[in-house]
Amino acid sequence: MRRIEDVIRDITKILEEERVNYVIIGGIAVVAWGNIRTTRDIDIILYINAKDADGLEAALKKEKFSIQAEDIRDALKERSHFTIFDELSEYYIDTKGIYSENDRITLERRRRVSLADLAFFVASPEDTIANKLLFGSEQDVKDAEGIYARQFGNLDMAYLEERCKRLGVYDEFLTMKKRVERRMQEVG
Amino acid sequence: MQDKTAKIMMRKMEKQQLREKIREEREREWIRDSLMLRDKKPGDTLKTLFDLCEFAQKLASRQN
Repeated sequence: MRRIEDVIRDITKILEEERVNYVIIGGIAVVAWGNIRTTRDIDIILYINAKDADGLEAALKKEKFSIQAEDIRDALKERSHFTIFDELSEYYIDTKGIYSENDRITLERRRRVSLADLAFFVASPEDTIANKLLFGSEQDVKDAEGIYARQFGNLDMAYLEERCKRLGVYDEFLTMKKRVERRMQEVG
Repeated sequence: MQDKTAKIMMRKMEKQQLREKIREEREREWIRDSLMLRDKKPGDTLKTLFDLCEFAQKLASRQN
């Protein structure tokens, strides 16, 4: 049984060896910058071209990850997600390419995090907040609030505000900011 | 009849007030949790997540 940290270690090692730039987003990025909550999948954005799909499939299969190059090519063509399954555990990697300016910026501003002998790239706290506000579910907004509170004073506010404006979630950002700062005062 | 309607409305208001109080308290708890993590590095909280996942995996395998 492969543990989640081993899944991350193995998958990021493969991507680095294959020279595929990546950024881990979603629940893993949330836990790095905000509150601790569980997650069942690992969400990744890859900078990959269709011509590299065969090489990536071979490298992944060698390490007991399951994916078809055809699925990668189809997803890139349709600008959708593809799933990499781990044959040694129940974890799976929900993967997408660079489909928008937003994805490109999230990848470019990735941050390296480390623990013990493991190091990998996750989305920055600012990009994670902005994207969570864009997705907009109750859990997404809670995630954004947790990051804002934990990273309060450490965030690049000018960038975050600009990013929220670009994504059309500036009103949501202001509402969240006001609510979190009020709660922060209340709990001291 | 009016008395009965008033009582029903009163109960509805009380229920709404209660729900609002609970929602606010949950928001405070969530932010309190965030503030408690302010001194932690990303690796510290990721380690906690990994431990939680391992615990859940062990629990699931014992149940199967």
